[in-house]
Amino acid sequence: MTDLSRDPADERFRNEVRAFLEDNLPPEMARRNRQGYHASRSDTREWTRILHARGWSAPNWPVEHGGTGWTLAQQAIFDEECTAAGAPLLDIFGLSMVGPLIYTYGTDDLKARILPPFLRGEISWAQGFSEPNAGSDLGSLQTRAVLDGDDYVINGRKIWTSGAHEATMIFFLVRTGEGTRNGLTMLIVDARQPGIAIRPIDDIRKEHSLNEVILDDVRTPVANRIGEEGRGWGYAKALLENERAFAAEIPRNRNHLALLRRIARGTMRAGRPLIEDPVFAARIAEAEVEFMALEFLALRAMSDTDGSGPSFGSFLKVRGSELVQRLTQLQVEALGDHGAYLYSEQAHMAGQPQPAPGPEFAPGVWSEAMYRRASSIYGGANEIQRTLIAKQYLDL
Amino acid sequence: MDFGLSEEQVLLVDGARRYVEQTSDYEARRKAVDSGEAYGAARWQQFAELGWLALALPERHGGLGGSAVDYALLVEALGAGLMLEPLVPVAAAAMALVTAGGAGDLPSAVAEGSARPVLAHGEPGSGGLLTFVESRAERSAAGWRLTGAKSLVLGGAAATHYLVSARTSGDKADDAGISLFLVPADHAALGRRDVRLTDDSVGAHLAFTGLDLPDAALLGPESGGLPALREGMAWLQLGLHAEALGAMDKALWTTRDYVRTRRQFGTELSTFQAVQHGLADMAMETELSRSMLLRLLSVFDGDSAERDRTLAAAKAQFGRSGFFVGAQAVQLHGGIGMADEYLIGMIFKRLLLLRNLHGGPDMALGQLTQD
Repeated sequence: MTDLSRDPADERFRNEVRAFLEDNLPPEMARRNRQGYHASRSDTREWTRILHARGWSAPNWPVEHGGTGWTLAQQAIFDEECTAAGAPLLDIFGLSMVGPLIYTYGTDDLKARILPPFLRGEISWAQGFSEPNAGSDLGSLQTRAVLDGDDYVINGRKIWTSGAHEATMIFFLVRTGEGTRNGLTMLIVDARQPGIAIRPIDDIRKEHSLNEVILDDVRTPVANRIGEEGRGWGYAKALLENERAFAAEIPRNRNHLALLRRIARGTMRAGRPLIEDPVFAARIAEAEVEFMALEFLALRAMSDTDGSGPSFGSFLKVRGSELVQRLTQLQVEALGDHGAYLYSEQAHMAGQPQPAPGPEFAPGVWSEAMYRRASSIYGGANEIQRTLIAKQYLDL
Repeated sequence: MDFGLSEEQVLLVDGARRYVEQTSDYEARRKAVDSGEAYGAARWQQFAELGWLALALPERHGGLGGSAVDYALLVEALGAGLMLEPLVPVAAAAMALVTAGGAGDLPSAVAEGSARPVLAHGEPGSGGLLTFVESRAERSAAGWRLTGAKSLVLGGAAATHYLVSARTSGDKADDAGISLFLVPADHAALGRRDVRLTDDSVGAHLAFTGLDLPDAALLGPESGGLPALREGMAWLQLGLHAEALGAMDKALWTTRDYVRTRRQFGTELSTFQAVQHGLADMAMETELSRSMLLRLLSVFDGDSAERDRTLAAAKAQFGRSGFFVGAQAVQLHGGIGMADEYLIGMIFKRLLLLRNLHGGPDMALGQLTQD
């Protein structure tokens, strides 16, 4: 029966999460993460430890693997409240990508070695898929692993590897045979070992988040292989589809909408608060309309627990990424002259004075707007998603 | 939340879809339009027999007591058939009558199919502002005397009654001071022009130059007609959005089928990525609109600020998406999309008209900036 009312149990859960955040999220950590800058790995690990003490460090995992067993609605509420409170982002490479692959396809030995320390905040992950000649087209990967006794020996080059310089482990998609469907294998590699050279790439914000990773006779045991040899492409596809309802980034978009309003209220243009400018106010309203529709599309996707309805994953990815880009761009615009000042992430994180003057909400806004250009590129570029919609939803 | 349908809802939707498939011959629609018919009287009687005219009315008024969700599902299914019949305007007026009270057994007559009241609210200068009413009613010896004009009265040519908003006090955009009057369509002194609309339906333009009405024509409290008017307009918008959704969905899948078979450059159009992505954008707009309609339904019961806000958001969403989907369907069809006799052009014209109703999407965005 169609029932569009909100579940009172979900609202009780929201209060529980809120109370937990009030008691446990360190204010200094919240200050660092409330702005547009991204959590440092040390904040993410510390926050993971705090959540682990409550049994909440894997919100999206089933109970038998150390997760919470929460419903999708509860996970969404948790995300919303954490984002609003300024909690650092959790390690999504571990939580949404490699973790579920390990507990779904990994051996018991692998599960026992990797999952518990990850849940305690002792492992930081990076994802090594993209290569200089393989972006959205994973079939063109060239980094190769060759079996040598009980080890794989890996040689090649990965690029755009976010966070590799701070990671303790990397999961790589590498070539072990010919072709796409049967030629790729997923391997877990200790990031701190000889043969791995990590070269920083300054990103568009002038920050260091991206890396080139060069693998020169890097060894990893066969026991670190996820699932079977030659099945890596299928696993990679499964994890990209795994994101489903979360691809729209509803909590992030909600937060960005609120920040946009805050900036527009706190910025003067031609002698009055920008929010009173009818043209700019209408642009905010347009973005809000998009958000309101997108939020319900995400709810529809989440409520389809048996997968009987159409898959909206690509819809959410395209429109969620376009919305976050639109909102962050409007934020920069709303800052006016302060939108052109280059603020410092390091100064913000250290609580030191900024090199440029401006209101408290200014640092991080431009940085996030720049970073979000990647949202429509990663996880299968939006052009790929539109093609997927044509194939899957429209059956073309 | 549970977005699934109950057994009764599945039956309702299946029945309406079957009806559309069996009776909505677009060629027949064109003939009906050419003959000057405002609506199909025989079809209207079928609507009544199927219970559709009674669906959302409360049981005490001879209705079936269905929910807003039931109603939206029905209208969406009928929307694919581009019905010329004023089901939505009549249902909206009936809900306003129920809220206002005082109309006797008129709602029951709606349920039976014998009465077709419609709202006559918008005026040439109102631009979708709900409280903008310049028409005036003044006390007279016989009861009331009505002066003013009402434009783009949907379903106006097929109506048996008009539910007219007129000011009995206050200034043109005040909240208080609006009263509702029931005017029979055959009132001798009513200046009424039936107007063919751009989507081939027939509306009416009304002029009152000292129209005399009895005391009993006033429905609900004097100068306190706004709640009933608000309820009626909310149902009108809900219904029009549901209709638009049905039409958008029809445009999407018709276009999908067309590009699969139409060949150019030695291959099906559907093999071109530009065409695929154009269709993917249509699909996203359609599903986001469906999501917005569900959001509206989740707050629809009862007058609230949240409902008003969501009505404005839905208006903006459907205005933008409806136009996009319709225009894109014409584009991807090429030449045939420009033909008067073809379904896709009919859908586009309907969606364009709906977009610009009640001040259009900009008016709705403006409302969203008011808080």
